[in-house]
Amino acid sequence: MNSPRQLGRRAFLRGVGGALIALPILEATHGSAWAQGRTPAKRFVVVFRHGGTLSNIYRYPADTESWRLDGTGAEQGHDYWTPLDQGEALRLGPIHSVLEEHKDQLLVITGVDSQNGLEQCPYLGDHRWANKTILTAGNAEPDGPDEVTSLSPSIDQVLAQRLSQATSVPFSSVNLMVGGHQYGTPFFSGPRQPVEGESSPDRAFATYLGAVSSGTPDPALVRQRAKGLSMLDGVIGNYRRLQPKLSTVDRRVVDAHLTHLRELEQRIERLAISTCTTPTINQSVEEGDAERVGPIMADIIVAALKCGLTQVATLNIADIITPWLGEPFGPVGYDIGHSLHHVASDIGEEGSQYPKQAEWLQEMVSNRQWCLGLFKRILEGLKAVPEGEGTMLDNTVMLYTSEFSNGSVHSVNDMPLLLAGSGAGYFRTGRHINCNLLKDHPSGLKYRSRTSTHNLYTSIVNAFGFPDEHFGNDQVVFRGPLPGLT
Amino acid sequence: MDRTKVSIRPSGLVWVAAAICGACTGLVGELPVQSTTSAPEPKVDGPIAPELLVPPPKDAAEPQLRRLSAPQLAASVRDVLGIDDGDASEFLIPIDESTIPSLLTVERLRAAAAAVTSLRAHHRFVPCAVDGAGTEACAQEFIETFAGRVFRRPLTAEELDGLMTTYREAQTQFGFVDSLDLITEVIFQSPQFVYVFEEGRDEPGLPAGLRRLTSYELATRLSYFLWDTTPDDALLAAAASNRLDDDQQLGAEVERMLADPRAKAKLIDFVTRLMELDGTARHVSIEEAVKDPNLYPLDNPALRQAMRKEIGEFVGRVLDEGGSISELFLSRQAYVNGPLAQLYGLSDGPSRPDEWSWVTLPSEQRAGVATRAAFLFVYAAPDIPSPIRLGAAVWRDFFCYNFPPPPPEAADVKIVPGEGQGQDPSIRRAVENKTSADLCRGCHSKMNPAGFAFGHYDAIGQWQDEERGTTPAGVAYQTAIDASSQLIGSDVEGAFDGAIALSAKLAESRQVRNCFGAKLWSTAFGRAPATGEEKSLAWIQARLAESGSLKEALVDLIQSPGFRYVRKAP
Repeated sequence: MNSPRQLGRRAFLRGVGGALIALPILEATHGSAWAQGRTPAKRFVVVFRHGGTLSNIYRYPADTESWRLDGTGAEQGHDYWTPLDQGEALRLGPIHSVLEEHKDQLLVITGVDSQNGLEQCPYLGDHRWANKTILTAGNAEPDGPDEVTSLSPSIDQVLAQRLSQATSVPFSSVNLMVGGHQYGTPFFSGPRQPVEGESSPDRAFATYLGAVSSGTPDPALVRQRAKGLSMLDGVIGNYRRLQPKLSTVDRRVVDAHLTHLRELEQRIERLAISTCTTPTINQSVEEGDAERVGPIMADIIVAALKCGLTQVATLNIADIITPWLGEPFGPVGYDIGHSLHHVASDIGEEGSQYPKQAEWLQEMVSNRQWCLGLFKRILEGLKAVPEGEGTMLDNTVMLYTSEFSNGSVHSVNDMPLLLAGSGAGYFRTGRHINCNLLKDHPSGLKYRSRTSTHNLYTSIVNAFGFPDEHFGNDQVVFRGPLPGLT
Repeated sequence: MDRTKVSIRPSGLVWVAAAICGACTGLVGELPVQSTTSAPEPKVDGPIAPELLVPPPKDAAEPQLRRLSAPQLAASVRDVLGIDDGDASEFLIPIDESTIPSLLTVERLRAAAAAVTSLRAHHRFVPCAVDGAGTEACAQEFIETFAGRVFRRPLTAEELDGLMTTYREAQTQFGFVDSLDLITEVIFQSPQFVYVFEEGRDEPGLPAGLRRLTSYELATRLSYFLWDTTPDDALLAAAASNRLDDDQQLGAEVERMLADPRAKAKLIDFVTRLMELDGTARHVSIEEAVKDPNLYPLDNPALRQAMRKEIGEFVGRVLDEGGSISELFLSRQAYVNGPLAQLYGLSDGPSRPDEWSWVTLPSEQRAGVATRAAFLFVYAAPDIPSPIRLGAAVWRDFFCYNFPPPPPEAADVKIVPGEGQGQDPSIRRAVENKTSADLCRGCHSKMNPAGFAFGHYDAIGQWQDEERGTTPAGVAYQTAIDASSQLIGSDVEGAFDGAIALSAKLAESRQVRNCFGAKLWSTAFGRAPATGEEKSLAWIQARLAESGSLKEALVDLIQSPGFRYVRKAP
């Protein structure tokens, strides 16, 4: 029981418990530090949407030339994601149009494959495998009969770990979810270690903003924190006593549990007493009410970043149809976004539902725009915070993606990848980066790529000042950053 | 339904393997598909080999640390504290997709422990005044009693010491009662509660590496297996006095537990899960299934609730009468209310929704669970029945035979009766046409025929003498139903006609009984059988093949060495 760490804790509680209150964390990280001319802190935000976007790419085996669907035949395949211009000048596509006013701060990246998804997914595209590879660019493996797990961390968690080592924050990452039908988390903090997002607005608020006060700290809160530390100390003791008795497999479980308990501990220690203005939320919002949950989650992310509680945030949006515009498409009941997408073949010129094509497209595009609207809400929240000579957005990198491009065929080629924020001037924004080697083909329907998410994530890690030459598993042909971003 | 994992398609789209559908060889697309058939398959042709019925030698697998399921956590907290389900529901934490806990789970456990502690229900375990200054002796007695109850066994000296240290440190800062509350939060998050960890104990004469479960470990296995909750006082008392070591006394204890309503609820839940009525990664639950209101005006939430109740009551009755698998598939006894009687086409049944009674269903239309509304309802599309889904379900649910997942385009291939198929507009013909490509046939040649047996039921489970529908051209059609069927590659091969005959096949199949045995095993351990347990499982399966009784299989399972011993590396 008397490890140095725990003695340190007790000393901390008895000795400086009160003194820690003195310096609000916001000022500690965002006030004097910049005044001394240090590099601005950088933040990373991922918004992930389950079920793919509206793309006309067809999946194809690696190393063969393939095609885009022209949007008229039995397979449908409208493209509402790709910018209207194949070149560098950014002309936003229909889904992106909600971000028009922020165009200068965007980078739309096309022609990039999820190479690991391609290599590992059954049928070159499977929900579970695609989810486990899209943000990790790593290997996955089956986990029981129905699940797949990742063997490497996702880009957000790699950055969360590194950034929180460099700058102490209460939450190494804030992880939220707009719940509903979905295909498993794409976020991993290590091998077989999933990161799940909180889907209840109340709990999300309590977890991430509950200990933040807007004025003089409540003495009850100070006492609560001390009790929390004491309590976790006791729980940790019980897990540690079990450790030596365990097999290798069981140790993984208990080690992970202990790591998480320590993270909870760290949250309390690092939170000190933070004063910051937090949003007020309507406590009556139910988890299933996506249209109201989504904006609240976006606001919590903005508040957590603004208050310096974290440097990394993830928002995981389930495969939901929001808003619901009209009657279900025939026969009945496409209440899951992806099911609606799977009706694509009926909506094409030769399909039985062709008369409903316009309605279908409106529904699909609105839905994707709604999801991107949450991205926009975070973006605008950050843009409203002055920082240095610009705004908080300028010192942030935001990524929007999904596990598929064309959800209807489960394609992991030509992934939907959208960046916002230059990462303190690292990326040259306001452009379209097109990695399709056949982008100049007159038909506009040819596709070939030698670029993977491996490259993009290497670029992102570099943007945060880490000189890595590679991200993800060892795909030699996909080493190095993605050219042309900086 | 916020955690279903793979694409579900509540629509008329049916899984049809299209252009790149792999054959069912275990290889689909580029990757080997993991075989999910759960049990080593004993030989099933001919009479049961006598050696299989010889009680298995003492052997067992290495135990694995197992986290209690969310319902088990909540039920345990409820039973220990004597609070209601609602108050314990904070422990209904979404289940992690991996065995490795997520940070969110650990945070939710913390919050749940804090929430139930704030109810102060644990104060009744405090042997002195909670609002007084308290004494260390009082705190120690509380910790010993309460933690012992939550941990399902007496504390070790080391555990008591650890908790007392935490208590003493807390007490100097926060006072007596707050420190007891703090300790209570610790107890509800501790591994001794959240996980099941088994060490066993040495026993003379056991083969090397094998250990007997301690009495308390056995009590815990029994309780979560049969009741899905923490052991009650009587079971803990039996463990304390080592009565569970004695076969006879163990048998008596198991009998007491089986007579409890919780055991029945657990077995009903077992059958409900087996039939996937709560929804799975593959399809939605009874409640969430989408049905076309224009085609099925009878359908409403109350009817679905009634279907669920009917299955529960039916399984309960079969269990009361001995738990016969044959009866499960063949009995025509049904507990129905007015709307269900209407669905079953009964003229002399109850008429009002709140009027329930036992009836006998018509012999030419219905048999046991596979012909009941709930089963037929979840495996149908919104508008038409789905032979493909039903066929896959028969193999998966009853034979433990899993097909590899269909390719994504399969979901885009729609079964449209009357669509370009000559003179025969039937669903059966449409299914055959759409699955006739060579690459589809690997799976569908086995899947479809099993599903065709259900031709006489519509998408909500009503009997139909003839198939009626509308072609894409808007022409109403009416056609004879061909329900001729086969269970290809099973131990009950051979042509038959309709779902009653199919039920008879299921009732007599030894493969089906083996499947039930394997699934019972997985329910008991929360995992598939592992090395060291094969003989225990094979024995349980052989006994089940002979007795045909689920209830007896439960007792066999508990009596088997795999349940009572563990293997530990020296």
